[in-house]
Amino acid sequence: MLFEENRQKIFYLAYQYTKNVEDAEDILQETFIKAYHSLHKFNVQNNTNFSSWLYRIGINCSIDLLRRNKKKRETISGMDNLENISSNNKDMDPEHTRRIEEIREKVTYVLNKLTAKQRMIFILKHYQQLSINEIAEYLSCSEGSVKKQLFRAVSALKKPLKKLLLENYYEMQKI
Amino acid sequence: MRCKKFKEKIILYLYGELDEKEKADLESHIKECPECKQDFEYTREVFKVLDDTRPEPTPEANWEKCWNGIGAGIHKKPRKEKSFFLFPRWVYAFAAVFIIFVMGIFIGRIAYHPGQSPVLQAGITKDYLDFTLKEHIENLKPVLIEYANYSSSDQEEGTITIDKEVIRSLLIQNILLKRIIAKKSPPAEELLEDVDIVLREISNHKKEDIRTPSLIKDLIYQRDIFFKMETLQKI
Repeated sequence: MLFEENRQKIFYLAYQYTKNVEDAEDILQETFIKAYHSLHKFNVQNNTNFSSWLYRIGINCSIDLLRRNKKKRETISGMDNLENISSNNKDMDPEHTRRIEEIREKVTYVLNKLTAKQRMIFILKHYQQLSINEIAEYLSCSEGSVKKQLFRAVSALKKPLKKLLLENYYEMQKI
Repeated sequence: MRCKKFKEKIILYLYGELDEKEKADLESHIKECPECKQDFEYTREVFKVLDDTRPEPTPEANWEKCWNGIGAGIHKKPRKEKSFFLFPRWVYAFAAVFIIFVMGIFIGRIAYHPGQSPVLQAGITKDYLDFTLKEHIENLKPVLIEYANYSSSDQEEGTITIDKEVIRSLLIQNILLKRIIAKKSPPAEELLEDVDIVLREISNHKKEDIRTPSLIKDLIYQRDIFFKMETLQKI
């Protein structure tokens, strides 16, 4: 079934993007509803894979939702992320957990500051490990544009992480 | 500039998006440039940290709820996206063209008054125009006198020789003045018309044509050009 085959992939992307289960579920529903209503636009002869077509709709739905809920996103995602971290790292060294929490918090904070498109590009590249070419195709833009946005996204992440990394480095020196 | 380009490539290098040549270029640059080397090492460290702190496993969605939502959604008519525009876009395009057209007429009416020479509007005063006209008359005089004093005995020595460039510049000045003065000063316009005819004759005059200077002389006297000049200079 088309739903069974594709739901996990789209939900995973939507969750990575929004860091919120409910938002990700909304994106998943919206993606399938949009796809259903736009089925006449899907061109089989155009060598397009149905999953890719659906994935592209999912990406656009995610970007749209993030743009719509920009303010809401900042508070919800931060809280949600912290909850996940604290509940899943009980067995680890508390100091190490704290450090990971701190870094994740920073990453989430910076990702929230990025534009919807930059954030999507970073997630598709870094977490979904798609190629620049694939991302450009999904987002209907040039490879140059994807590279530029990716550079900006990573540069934005590099700055706030510097302090944390330096602290890490000094702690390692002490050991 | 060069370093900025390489800094952009460091990220692509770490993502494995560079071809062999680009990789080699970047690697050799990093060996030479301590700043880029530092940036490369730091970026690699950031990537490591990002990998170590990858987001938690994705929680399970409520598939039942999603499926129900999709089922309900596909039976609804797709709602039209609320457009920012109240009317079809062509209405706005048409309105914009109309406004520009009306503004064009309005600005045109304010800035341009029929009958007033555009050159005068641009700051040429009447005094300046009179001065220019008088100066033009002074410049014309030597040429016209030369032809007015032409006698048949000169035919043996040849014809009058005046630099064609001088005639051409006088002709241009005459045309410009005629356009500026048109309808403002009928006597000046009349004189300039006559001078125009004479200057054109002089301009077309060929050395071998020995009859032309007499014709030009007649033209100057027939049209009372000197008298008209004197009158205008007295005004």
